[in-house]
Amino acid sequence: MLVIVVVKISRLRVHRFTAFEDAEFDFAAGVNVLIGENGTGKSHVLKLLYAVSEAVRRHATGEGLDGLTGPRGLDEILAAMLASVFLPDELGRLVRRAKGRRTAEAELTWETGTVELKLSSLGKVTAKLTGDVSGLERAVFLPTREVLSIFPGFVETWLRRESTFDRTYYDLCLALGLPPLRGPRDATRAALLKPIEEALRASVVVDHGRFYLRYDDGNMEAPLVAEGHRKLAMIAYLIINGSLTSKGFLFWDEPEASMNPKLSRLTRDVVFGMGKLGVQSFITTHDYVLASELSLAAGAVAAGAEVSRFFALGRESGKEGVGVEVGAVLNDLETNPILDAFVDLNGRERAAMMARQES
Amino acid sequence: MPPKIFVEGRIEFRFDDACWEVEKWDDHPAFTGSLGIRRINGELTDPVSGKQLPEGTKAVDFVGLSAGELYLFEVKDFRGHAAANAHRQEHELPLEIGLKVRDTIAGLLGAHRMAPSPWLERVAGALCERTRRLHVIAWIVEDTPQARRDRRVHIKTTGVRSDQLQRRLSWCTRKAWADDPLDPSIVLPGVQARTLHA
Repeated sequence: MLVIVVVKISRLRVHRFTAFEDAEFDFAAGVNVLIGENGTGKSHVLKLLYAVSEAVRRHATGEGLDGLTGPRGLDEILAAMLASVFLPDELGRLVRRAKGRRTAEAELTWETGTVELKLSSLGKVTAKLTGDVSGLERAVFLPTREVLSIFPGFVETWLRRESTFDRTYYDLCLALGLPPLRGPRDATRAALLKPIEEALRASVVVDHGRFYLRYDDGNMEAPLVAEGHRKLAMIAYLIINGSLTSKGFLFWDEPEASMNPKLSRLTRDVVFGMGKLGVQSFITTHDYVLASELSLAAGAVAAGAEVSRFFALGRESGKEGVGVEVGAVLNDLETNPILDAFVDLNGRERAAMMARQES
Repeated sequence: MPPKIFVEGRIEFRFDDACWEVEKWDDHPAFTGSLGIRRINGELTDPVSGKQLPEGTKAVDFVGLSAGELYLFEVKDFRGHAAANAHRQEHELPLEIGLKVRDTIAGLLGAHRMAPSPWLERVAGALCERTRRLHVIAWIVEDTPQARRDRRVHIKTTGVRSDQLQRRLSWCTRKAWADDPLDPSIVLPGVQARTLHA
């Protein structure tokens, strides 16, 4: 009997890394949602997870940093991944600032192995890998902006020229460059695609390296379509070409950016639908509707079958660095700046309403 | 069987006896009686001011069982004096209801141990069994705004209150909601509410 081992990220421990002094994350096997005010390190957590898991996978498969070119040793791949994903002036800038030389540490644990990473303030990276990581699947990072409009020629330009776009854009364009999977769509992919294509009222096609949305009355170039729809179209194509339906990892930074809140339910369904396929997701959000939709889906799961976790990142007075709180649903979290902002707004709206009624 | 009828302020609640086993907890002998949790009411000296500050035991209005699940109901009627309560509501209402839920759970379990009854036995059973849901419902009645933009604020307020209540009560349940019992679109099977006119 063929047994496929699906390897999940189970734990991240960071020490003196960017905004964090000491922090630990115990992740759920399905959907992980990070909330927190700006500057609390949510995107840094996603980028670190992506950089480290992809570096380890590329090292383990012998693929090297960029296919068959570039560095092949784990330390070198990790250093290059961190530099190109975070884009610091110098790699040592990722070490939490303090007087004197310091070392940042990160320990990423999968169900089958662990990598321990050390990064000195001089920018030297060393890594120690234990266990078996041969089963690691690909990770896809979706940045806040869509890439369909910049796709034509992006890969070649990024490789040859200085760029302000980080590697997540390059890797995503590489993934989008893959042709559709051969044969008819299986039922799972079809079920994931249907609501997206219904929301778009179009399907996504590629012609001579350019993306188009195919409506009933003809094709429209991706740059002419609303940005929120380009984002949806990008996800649709990643499903069509199999990049988002392997048993890998999805890192999605602020899905709500450019998307109408009406699409939050669809976003939720896509994320949880991919969870059913074995994709482990990591999402950051500032959006009340999206966070609430994700929480609603998380809470609908039977007690004891927890597949989702919510993390609140925040600074506590008197403590160094950013702290982490964890809950099974959104309202388990005491630290919730999204709800706090909503409560504050609602209080002022009610005051204005009462003033109107009294006048 | 006739429905069980309770009056809370200006609102009459009717619980269908076929599907509800409900008691008015803040009038129940297990709460008000000599062995009830209210016996820990008293005063504590504030270490800073030296003043004697009252420490009271709180209670939700109704405790009910339906389809094997436990419901705690708290009723708030803000009609006619919403403005005076506006600031307090925003920050203190979820805390106030949370404290009532805390004391009610303690009171129900204590009474089950010290003054058992068949109803308390079933309530305590529902509380202690993890697979049976505990619902907390804040029934809040306010003057209905007439302007469309004010009705939207009103609807949003209900959602925000539910979120705040869930945040306060996540130590014991995730099933906590704020609702208007007089809104016909809010259906809780076997329960009816109406305003009593003088």
